[in-house]
Amino acid sequence: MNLLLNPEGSGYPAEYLIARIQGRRARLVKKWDDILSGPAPAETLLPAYYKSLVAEYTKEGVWKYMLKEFRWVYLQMNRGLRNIFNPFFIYSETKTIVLCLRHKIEKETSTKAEDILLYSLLSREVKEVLGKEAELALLLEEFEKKFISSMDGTTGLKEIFAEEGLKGVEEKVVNVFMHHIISLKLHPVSHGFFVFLIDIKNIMTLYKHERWAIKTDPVFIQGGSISESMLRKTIQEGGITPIIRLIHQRTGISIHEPGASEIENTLFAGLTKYLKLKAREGSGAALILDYLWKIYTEARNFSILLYSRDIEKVHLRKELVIL
Amino acid sequence: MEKVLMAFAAALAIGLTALATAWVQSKIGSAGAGALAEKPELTATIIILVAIPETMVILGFVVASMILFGG
Repeated sequence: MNLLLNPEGSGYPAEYLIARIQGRRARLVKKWDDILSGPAPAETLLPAYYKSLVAEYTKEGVWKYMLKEFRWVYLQMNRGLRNIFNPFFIYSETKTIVLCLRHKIEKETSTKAEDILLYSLLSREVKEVLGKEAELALLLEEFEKKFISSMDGTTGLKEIFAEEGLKGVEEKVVNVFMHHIISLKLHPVSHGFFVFLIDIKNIMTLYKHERWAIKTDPVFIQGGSISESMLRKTIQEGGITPIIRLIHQRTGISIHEPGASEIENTLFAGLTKYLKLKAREGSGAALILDYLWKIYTEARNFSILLYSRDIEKVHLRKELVIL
Repeated sequence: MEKVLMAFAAALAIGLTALATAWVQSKIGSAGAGALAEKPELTATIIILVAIPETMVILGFVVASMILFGG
């Protein structure tokens, strides 16, 4: 069953979309350091352009801004481009699914979930399941039966929810989607992106395993450029130094203060750098992917700034994805 | 026979350049429409860019005329 909506129109030519994206790139925030150096970074970030998009200055508002832009790009695409970018949009919609489930568990009214689903690219069938007023366990069972079992038959979301809660469900859904996506025949640009993303997730698993001295065996996602044997060798070596070495090898960026957010942000900055290089090589698909990723990192930075008005700027900078 | 060959050469000269112009204009036109949607102030530049490939088919027409009537 389709996870994403299937627009009726055939979309616009690739050249049209690329030209529009090149125009829109000018609106993106380029110098985060300049914003951080201002007296109130969060307020500096609210010029007329963002104000019209971010209706409410909440994390959901920022997320909606991102979904709105993703939706716009998706609806402008022709069938060829949609096929290339379907995996990316499926991946980006996993967060929408998780946000909806979180709203359900927090016993909030379903209005908020519906609000998020308004701009979502999820298909009508998925939205119907997520919008149901049912017990979360039953909802997860239905969701799994309809949409996940065709990707991986042995998920057991209901059981994972009972044992590990929503965090476990979130990890499982992301892992299943990643496994599924990497098993597809992907466009080279898309493939490179997902291989990098899998490396990021595996390195983060490695870091958390080391940092919190977790005794259970870490579960790595297959399909990254760093082999499982290499990751396991890093665990055996122990300590944070081999992980930092691994990050430097993958991203070319050195880390000086290895905290969880610095590591994640360095890896994201590495992916930003990789996509920027691919976009410069002149491929239209790479340019679109670079734009979508920049929108994602901008929304991420944006929500951090909105939620950390009282945090010192030195610490705030470490939380942002800045290249 | 010679007349047939000359007519064929003239047809090729204008036909191929017309096809090339059409293909290029479709690409430039799409990109130009996209650029105009984001930056309407580029109208004059885009019109010039769309018109530039027209020179190809005009040259093709000149060559075809020279083939047919030049000698």
